[in-house]
Amino acid sequence: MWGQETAVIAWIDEIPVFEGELEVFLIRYRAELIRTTMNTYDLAYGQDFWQQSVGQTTPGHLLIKKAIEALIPFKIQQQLMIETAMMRRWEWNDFLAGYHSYNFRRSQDLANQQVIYGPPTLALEEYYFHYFQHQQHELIRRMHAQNLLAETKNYHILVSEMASTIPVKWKNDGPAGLSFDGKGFHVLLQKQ
Amino acid sequence: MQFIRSVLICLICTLALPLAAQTESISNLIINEFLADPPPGLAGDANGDGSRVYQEDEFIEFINAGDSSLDISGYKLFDSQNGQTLRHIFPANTILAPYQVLLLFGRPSTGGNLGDFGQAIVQNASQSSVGNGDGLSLTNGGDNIVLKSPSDSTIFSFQYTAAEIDQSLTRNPDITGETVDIPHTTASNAGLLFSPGRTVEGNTFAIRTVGFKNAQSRISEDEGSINLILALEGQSPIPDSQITVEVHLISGNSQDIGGFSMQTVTFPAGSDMEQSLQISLTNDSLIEEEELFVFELDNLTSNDPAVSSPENSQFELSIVDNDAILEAGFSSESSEVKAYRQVADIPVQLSGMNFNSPIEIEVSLSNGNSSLIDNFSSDTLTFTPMTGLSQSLVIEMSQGVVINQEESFEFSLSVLSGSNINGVAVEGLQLSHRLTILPNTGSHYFYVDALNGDDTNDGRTPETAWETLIMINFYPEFPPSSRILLRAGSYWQGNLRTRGSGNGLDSVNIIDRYGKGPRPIIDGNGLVGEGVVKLLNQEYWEISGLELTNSAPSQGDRKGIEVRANDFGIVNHIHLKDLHIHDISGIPSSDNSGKRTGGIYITTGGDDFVDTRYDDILIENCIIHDCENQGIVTNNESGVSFRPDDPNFERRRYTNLRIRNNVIYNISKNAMIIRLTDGGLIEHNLCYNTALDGITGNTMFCRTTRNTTFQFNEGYGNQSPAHDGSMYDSDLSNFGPVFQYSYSHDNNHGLIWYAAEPHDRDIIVRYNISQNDKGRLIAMRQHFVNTSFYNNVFYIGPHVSPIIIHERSGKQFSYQFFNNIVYNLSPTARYEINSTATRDIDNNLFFGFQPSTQPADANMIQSDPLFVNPGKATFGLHSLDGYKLLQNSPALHAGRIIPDNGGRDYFGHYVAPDKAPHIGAYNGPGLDANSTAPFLQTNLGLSLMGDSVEGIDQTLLEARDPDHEAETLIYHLLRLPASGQLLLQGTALSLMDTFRQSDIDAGLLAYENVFDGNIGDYFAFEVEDPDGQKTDSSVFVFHLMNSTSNDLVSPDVECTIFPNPTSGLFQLEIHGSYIGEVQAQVLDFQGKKLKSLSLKKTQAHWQTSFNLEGLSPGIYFLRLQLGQHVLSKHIILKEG
Repeated sequence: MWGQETAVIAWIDEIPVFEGELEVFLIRYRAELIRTTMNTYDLAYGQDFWQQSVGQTTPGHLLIKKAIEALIPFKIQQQLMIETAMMRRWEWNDFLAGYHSYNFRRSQDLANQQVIYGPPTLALEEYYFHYFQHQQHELIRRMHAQNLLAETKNYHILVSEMASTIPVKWKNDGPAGLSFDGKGFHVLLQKQ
Repeated sequence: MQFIRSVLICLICTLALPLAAQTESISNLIINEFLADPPPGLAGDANGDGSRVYQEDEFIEFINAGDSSLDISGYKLFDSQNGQTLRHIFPANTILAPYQVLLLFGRPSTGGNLGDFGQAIVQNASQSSVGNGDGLSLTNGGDNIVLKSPSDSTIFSFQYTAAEIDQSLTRNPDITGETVDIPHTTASNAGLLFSPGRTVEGNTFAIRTVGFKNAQSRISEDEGSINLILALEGQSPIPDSQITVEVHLISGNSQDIGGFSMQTVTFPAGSDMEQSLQISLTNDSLIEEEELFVFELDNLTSNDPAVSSPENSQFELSIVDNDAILEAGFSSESSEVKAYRQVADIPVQLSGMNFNSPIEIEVSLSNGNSSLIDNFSSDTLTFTPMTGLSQSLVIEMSQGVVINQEESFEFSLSVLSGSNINGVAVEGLQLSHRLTILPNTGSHYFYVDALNGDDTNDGRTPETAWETLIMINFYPEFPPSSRILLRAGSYWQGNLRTRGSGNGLDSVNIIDRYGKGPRPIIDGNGLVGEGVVKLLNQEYWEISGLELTNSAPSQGDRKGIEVRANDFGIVNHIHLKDLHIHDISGIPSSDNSGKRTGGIYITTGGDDFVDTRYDDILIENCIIHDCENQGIVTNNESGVSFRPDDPNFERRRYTNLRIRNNVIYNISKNAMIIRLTDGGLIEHNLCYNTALDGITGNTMFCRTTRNTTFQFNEGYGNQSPAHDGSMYDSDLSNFGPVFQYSYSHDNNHGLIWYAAEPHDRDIIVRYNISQNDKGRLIAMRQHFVNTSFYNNVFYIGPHVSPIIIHERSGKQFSYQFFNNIVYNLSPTARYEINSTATRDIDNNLFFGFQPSTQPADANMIQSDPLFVNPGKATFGLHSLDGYKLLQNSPALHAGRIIPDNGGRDYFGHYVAPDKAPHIGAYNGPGLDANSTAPFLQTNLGLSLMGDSVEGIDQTLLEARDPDHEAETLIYHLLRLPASGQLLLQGTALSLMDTFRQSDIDAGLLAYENVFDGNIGDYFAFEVEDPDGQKTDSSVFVFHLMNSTSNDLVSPDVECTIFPNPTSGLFQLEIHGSYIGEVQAQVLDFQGKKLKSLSLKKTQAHWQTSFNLEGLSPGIYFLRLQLGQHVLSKHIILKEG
């Protein structure tokens, strides 16, 4: 059997959220969550920071909540990309395959003294944001071509409007039940 | 060729009409073809003697169509133009075997009958000089050919009325065609005028053929063997004869295929139509790379003379070295790490994509003192499709051990599992890796650890680290060679300030991280007035490995890193590397206050008493994002408003500045403001999403600089709402800036903005590519002189409406515009040219729409530049290959010579100073449209449930070739799926089968999984175009999900719309316990209510239909109010 399947942990308007994808956003907002919870709850930072009790929750789960909120516009974009035939479905492993290929190509280019933009290896977070930002341009172009958008700004209005009411459906017990490969999210947050 | 048939044939006697007087066997003699009118010139040289002489080249082709030999010795041939004129007496021993051909030419040629007439018996008319006429005297206008027995009994007479058609008449098909009246070119696909002794296609006459069933095959070495299939095709009057044929290996290493060199294959009499010959590999390890074996048939023997093997009947067998598909190795031969970091990452890489099972790579220490690296001996890295192709071996140094000298370690690599992988180094990968740990000696170490430190410690070892940054900030002065090390995974609020400097390059001070884990975070926590990390009047510092942030709810003077000097002199060597700086809440504005906030700010605060400037500034491999207002800024707050030849420039300039390999995005205004550089190199940066939140700003601009170069940068997504929204800006007071080899796309303005001053000069913009930029592609806003703009490419898609060149009214410019390509597909793109500019526009190529405002170009080209595939670039350099030129491009060598041209094109090809370059950004050889290799545009893989069937369409797998259609792109399978099968129109494919891109496009390809517990499967393939050009081998991966793994918990209310997109009518389905009124509204973008409906949900699972009739195509919202619940769904309304 191959390696562990990256699990679906939730759905945002029927588009799956994968554990690895959430991790991108956990890292993105890690610093912000530490700050806001320390400032709000007068917490100290230490080894057990993410598991400390904050009312009925923990900083770790607040971070997950923040990450999911930040994910929503990307899920809407993914859905629109599917609906405009830019991709067939959203699958984290497919994305990862593209990411690894991208970096491998960069490493080969460097070895061959070819041009690359940015650092020799893009971190997964940087690739994720770069990829979707670029795809957004193509998506808007397609929506224009299909007479689905009169103006580019309408795209952002669309995403904003949808994001305001879009449902998040958690698998199993919701964020409280997340185990991140059985190791706990605090382990995840200690990753390089 | 249009041919008006003028031949009327009266076949008095044919094979089918034997005369009563003849024996049955002679009745099988037929005329198959005759040539009465040899075409003029050498084309009429039917007998192959090098000249056309009608008396010699006329011929009649006889065939014995029976199943027994036929002796026609002594038979006579007459023509009846003038009664019964004898033309030929068949000599003694003229015996025709079954299906043997006899070819009768006219009078003998002095040169002989030199053509290749197959196995035919060739004779010449023996009585050609007898009586009237000469040769066979086949009259063009009509004649009568009579065959008589030696006793002068008429066997048959054959009459035709006209054959003046410059070619022969023949049966079609050969032999079995009913009449001999078909013009040869009509029958011959090869267009032959005649074919004496051969079939209409010029092949050897035979009724049955033995050949290879397929011309070629390709197998993987692990298949061990292959059966070569020989097929017997056609009919024969004597099918019961045995046939043998030899299969010879004519190319390839016999030793690799069991010593095979020749083997005889026998088709027993009455046997099946196919025979196989097994070719076995000696040992698959003998196959290296890909080996080609060529087999050929020879020495066919049979009692049946009508059987043969086609000439050059060959079979090509390619055996693919599976081991070569996947290689493993270290990414580099060696690396270094400073001992204080305590952790080293050694990347291990796979080359290729051939995952069949988990691949385990063992990395072992082969040399070095393991006690220094936590007693490491070996570790196993497991690669799966989920982990991808690269992983790092993490080497941790032993705690408490001090490394006092340089230590080297050798690591080797071996493959533990994975049948299709070699631990063989390929280009770029290494079998061994040398890690050098640089000692800590001679330095002063200071450790801070937010997780385990204590401020009562001495802070000099990891075990006695301090806890807070206060200990650093209040340390009196760090001596040269200090190492301030922050523990990975730590977090601090506030900022980091140090005192002291290094003392030259041998005693640089360093701030870095140590230990395993994520970057340590320093969070300004809203701090204003200082950078999160600040250097003040300090030099010889290197900072790396940190994450810095300073977010706040309100604007403020905030910076990630602040380097400041006041009345200091020359500040040397500030290196900022591998930093992650984000969420800096600065001041979003175009004022100076705003321009001093952002990610990295380097400035001179004041120099009233001591001239102060910088030398050796490096910003490299940093990620900077979500910053207000800038990404990177260099400045002198005392002033920058002077010319580069002003004395102030000399005392304030930045020398040896390099900013490279950074990623900068989501920036309120500019990704970079580069001021005061003398020289300086800004390269390999990726900058996107700039000028946000309604603020204008070019992505990268320079101000008061001299000879600064911007190159190899990518800039996109500048969102400036008005002016200043280009990738580059040569702002004010710049001498000799160069903007080159960069990729600008999807910006609100274009490639470059000139906000220059009258003294600005020698600005060069060359070999850049702009794709789908908007606004002003070249914006000239202020005065400048002597600017060169050459060999750039502008691709303008149909959906954008840019101003291609904008010359601001009333301003004076002097510029040259040479060798550029404007590829304009937009009918609304235009130029704004004013009357006060001085321009020299020459040797450009303008293709597509050419607005009336287009400036004059005396030597312009207006035809298609024949790019390989324009307009399709995505992100990164490699996506721009479509802007290379095909070999018949009019842009090749059509450019104007520009002596000092930078020496290379966008893609790295040499540009000579004294030869005409191509027009555009490409200067390599013109590419052959017929040999442009196909490429994989999409290869996403497919996720599906176990035991299911899913289609593979072009959204998942798409190969394209700019010069070939999809139906010509052939997928060759190199490996079949292991846990299922690949179906083409429902039929399982074998390794020998192929399919085409057009099959994928038509939805004919599918994968059927037989779930066996594996969660992954794949097939390997390559794609070939008609010219034999191929993609690299690749794999298409299936991710298989257990059917029970994705159950979701039903929410209280769940709403589904289908179909979506819709043409109008759609179904609205709502699940949930809520029962009651449902208010449904259709809204547009502005929230305007377009439709409204009040419904009653009467049961948990409820469905109704909805119609958007009357609305224009577009996107709408369906807002549903169900008691307390509000749901919003979007609907895409398509046309019709």
